[in-house]
Amino acid sequence: MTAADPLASAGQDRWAEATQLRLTWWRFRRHRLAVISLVIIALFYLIAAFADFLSINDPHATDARRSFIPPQAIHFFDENGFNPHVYGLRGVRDRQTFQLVYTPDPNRKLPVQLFTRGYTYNLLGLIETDIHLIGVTGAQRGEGIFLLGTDQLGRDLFSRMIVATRVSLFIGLAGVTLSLVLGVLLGGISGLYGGWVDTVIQRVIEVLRSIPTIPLWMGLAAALPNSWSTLQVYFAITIIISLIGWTDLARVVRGRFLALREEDFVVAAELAGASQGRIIFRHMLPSFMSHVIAAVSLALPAMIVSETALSFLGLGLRPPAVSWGILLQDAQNIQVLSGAPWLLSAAVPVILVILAFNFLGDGLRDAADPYG
Amino acid sequence: MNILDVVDLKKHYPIHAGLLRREIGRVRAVDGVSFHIAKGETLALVGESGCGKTTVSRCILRALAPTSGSMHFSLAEGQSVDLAALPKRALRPLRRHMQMIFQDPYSSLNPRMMVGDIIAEPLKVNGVPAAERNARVLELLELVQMPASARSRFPHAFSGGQRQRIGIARALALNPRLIVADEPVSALDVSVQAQIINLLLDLQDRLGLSMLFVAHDLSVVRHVSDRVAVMYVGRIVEIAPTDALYRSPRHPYTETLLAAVPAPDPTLRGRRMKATGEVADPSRPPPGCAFHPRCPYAVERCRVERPELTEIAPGRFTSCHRAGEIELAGVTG
Amino acid sequence: MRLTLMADQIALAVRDLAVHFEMEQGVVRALEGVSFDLRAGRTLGIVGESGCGKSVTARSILRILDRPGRVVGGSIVLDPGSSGSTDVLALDSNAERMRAIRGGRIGLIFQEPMTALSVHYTVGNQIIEAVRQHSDLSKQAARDRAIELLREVGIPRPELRVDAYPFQLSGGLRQRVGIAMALAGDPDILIADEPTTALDVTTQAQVLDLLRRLQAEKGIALMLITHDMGVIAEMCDDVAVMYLGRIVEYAPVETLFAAPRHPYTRALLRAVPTILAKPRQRLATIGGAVPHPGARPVGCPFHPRCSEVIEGRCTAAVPPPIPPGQAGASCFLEVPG
Repeated sequence: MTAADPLASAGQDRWAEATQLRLTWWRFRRHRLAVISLVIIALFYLIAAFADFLSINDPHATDARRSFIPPQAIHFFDENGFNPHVYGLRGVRDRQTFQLVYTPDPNRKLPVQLFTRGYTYNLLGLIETDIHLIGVTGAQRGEGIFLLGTDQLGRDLFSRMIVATRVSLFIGLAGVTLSLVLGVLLGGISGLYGGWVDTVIQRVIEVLRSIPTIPLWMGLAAALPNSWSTLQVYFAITIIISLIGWTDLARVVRGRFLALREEDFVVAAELAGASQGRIIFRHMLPSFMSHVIAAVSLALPAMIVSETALSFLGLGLRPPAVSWGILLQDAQNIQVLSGAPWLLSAAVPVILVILAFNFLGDGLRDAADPYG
Repeated sequence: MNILDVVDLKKHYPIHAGLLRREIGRVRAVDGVSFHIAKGETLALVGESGCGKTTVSRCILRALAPTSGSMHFSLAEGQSVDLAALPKRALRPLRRHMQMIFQDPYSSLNPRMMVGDIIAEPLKVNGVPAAERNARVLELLELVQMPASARSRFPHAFSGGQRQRIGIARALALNPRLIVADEPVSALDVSVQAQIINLLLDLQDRLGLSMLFVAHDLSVVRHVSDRVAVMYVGRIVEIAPTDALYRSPRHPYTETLLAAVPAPDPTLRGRRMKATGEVADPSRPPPGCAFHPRCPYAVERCRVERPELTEIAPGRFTSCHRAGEIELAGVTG
Repeated sequence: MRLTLMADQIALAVRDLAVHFEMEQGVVRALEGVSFDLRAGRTLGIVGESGCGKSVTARSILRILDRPGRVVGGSIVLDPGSSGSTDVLALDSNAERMRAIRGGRIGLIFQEPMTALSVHYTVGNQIIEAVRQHSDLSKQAARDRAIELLREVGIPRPELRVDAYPFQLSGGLRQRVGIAMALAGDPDILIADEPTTALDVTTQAQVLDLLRRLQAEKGIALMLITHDMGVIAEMCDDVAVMYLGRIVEYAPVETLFAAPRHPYTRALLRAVPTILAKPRQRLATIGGAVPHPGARPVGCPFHPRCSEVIEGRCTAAVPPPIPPGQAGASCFLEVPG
């Protein structure tokens, strides 16, 4: 009779004593696209957290004299060597369209500097300051850095996009958190108790999912009083979005509960005499937390897209709030778009973030459950 | 003394149909099964898939609630309880006396718990203090021939055979009076299977285990069991001491099963199996003896009258009308 | 032309087949120089434990190896020595020639026939499609052929069962349908990958009977992959014992069971539980477990578990492979030195 073969070598030891969380992380690290996505998402959230610091011009400041300025480039060198600057602008009225067309004036250089003073804001909601990462000095009215150009009202698109990141990303987070609470609670009850409770919850989910979302949102959004402040609307929209979003999570949770209830190790715990609470919290919950995290990372982009779609349709947030959807709303008019195609650039972060979240979710799912 | 006395155990699953969910039939997964397990004895429950052997084992552990029948489980000399009659809540303190060894060594261990915690779990939930638990875990690991260092490792570090040893250690933790082993070696490689069979034999000798061994592999059963109960479509067709059953089966189905097992010996090639056809559907078992459509010895009586399990020799039970008349072939080494 | 094949003629010759799986942890050598012949009218059994490479061998022959598996060496020649000999490995796995060979010359029987059958089509539809893929029969003629095939594999009332869906059939009948599918292209080589592992013993006996009968009738070269020594003893003419991607012993079945030459074969035969056992009979065991193919031991891959290991020899070098077509063991005990 032989004993189990002695497991040697240090590397094997590390692996043998690794928790599932660590194994998941090791598997996740191999998923290159997911890791890159994780970095991208982290960057986006950093941008959102420091949005005002990173924005160049006041995103709400309008100026009729600088409407539809095309994107400007920063020039880093001139005849004197390294000297970052942007050109000043000269507006000329087009003889045919009677529109102002801005052309850079190479003779007027506005030097670009770091940590310049601009509009006042609260850094992380705590410190009042007016320092911004970059800015120009010596600008006259209507001049400045417009990396992505301006809109009809002369607002700087770059700054607006950065500030919009905050709203769009956090509405996603808030929506998912709410969905998560609802989904885990109702899905858990559904999967654990079964019977008529399960039937009722499942029917509710089916009804909710069968309602076409856009008309539902339209109805709910129309019901929001006009008098509400931007903040109130913001919360209301979050709730509306998560009202639909929880159903997917509830299904994931219920499915895992049902599958785990039959799992041998859960039966073994039951046969050992373990209490219901111990079975749920010691055996079942840890086994599907990773699935929930993966589901969340796949639900987040759906939330962000929902908000974008709602605002794009004019049903979601309203100006003066800034979100990606609101920015894209400006790009609805084909005529405006033909004159100022840069307005569409608000779609780029949407695509980037959605893709990144999807890759991250895939990576997490594969890492959490290599066999599923 | 008997550890377990099962009398007329039934587990039926109603088949519902229509809007009002009217019962239109029943799957008689287990349909009147009686047997006993003596102290220190291993009884094997064998049969093909769908015969009800797994359902019987799950009923005994009360992972399933039986439809009817009694299962008297002895807790101590002269003290027994009917497991079938107890509500689920009252079962929890009894659980420690019956433990299970699972078929799949992968799904039966929680991948998120260290091996030491897995083995200690039955001890912990039954209130054994921590110091005692640690000592017991070490003792159990030694019993199943695993190194003590296994305690701080996770199941993924072990092969199927090693995991099965861990599962066995967990089942033994509370010194249960009865162990139910559900196909404990069928998922393992041949060379590992032999190790686990030997381990079970060792444990039987050292600890005097009482065991219900559920299996489909008649070769494995011949190695580990003292007596064998053969099931067919929800009923036991034959019970006998192992050697007697293999040498001289008294039910045509047992003969069929034995003849179907390919022996690892090319010189014995071509023992032809006599039965044809397929296992009957437990929702529509044939009238009379359920085996009659496949039985080469069937007569008119077998098609109309259901045979009862009767004792035809001391310790030998069979449910065949023609048990006394026909000569059946067994396998001898 | 196929009818003129002589019995025992080599239908397929596998030589030095090597397959690697390129994983992120490194290269897993799933097959390392496997050679054998399949002969018309004979059954070659391939036996081994998990990870020995028996299924990879079958998949390589059919060119249906899953990624990241890759054939890195060797040859697989159909009809070697004849004018029409073809190296299967030289063909593009998707080329028409290869598709004609797959199913037409070489049929495959799966462990779980449900994986080979679609649940959306009737059994008949699927067999008809397979028949028509390898012939130019009309739809009606193909249907008749399908019914005939179902009858041939012992399915009762085939004219009715031809319109059944796979899930309406029992496990045993499904495996018979699987065999009928494999026969649809009238192959002269059959590869059966654990064809009875998922079946009950009585059904297994019936399916084995069927395979034996079909082989005798059609003079098929059968390659039977299994982990069950009983099935090997019952079915095979010759046996190749595999361990970690190598054939460690090759012998006629009687010789293998009567006088096994490789320590692994000897140990394996002693470890098999037998229906002929004495009460409470203990088994001889092989220490440890099969290592992961990625953690292949240096030297003879079996040496860490071998009771007859020669220190300094088995631990240092891989024993020479068995010359194809000869009985023998790949073991240093066989090589004087």
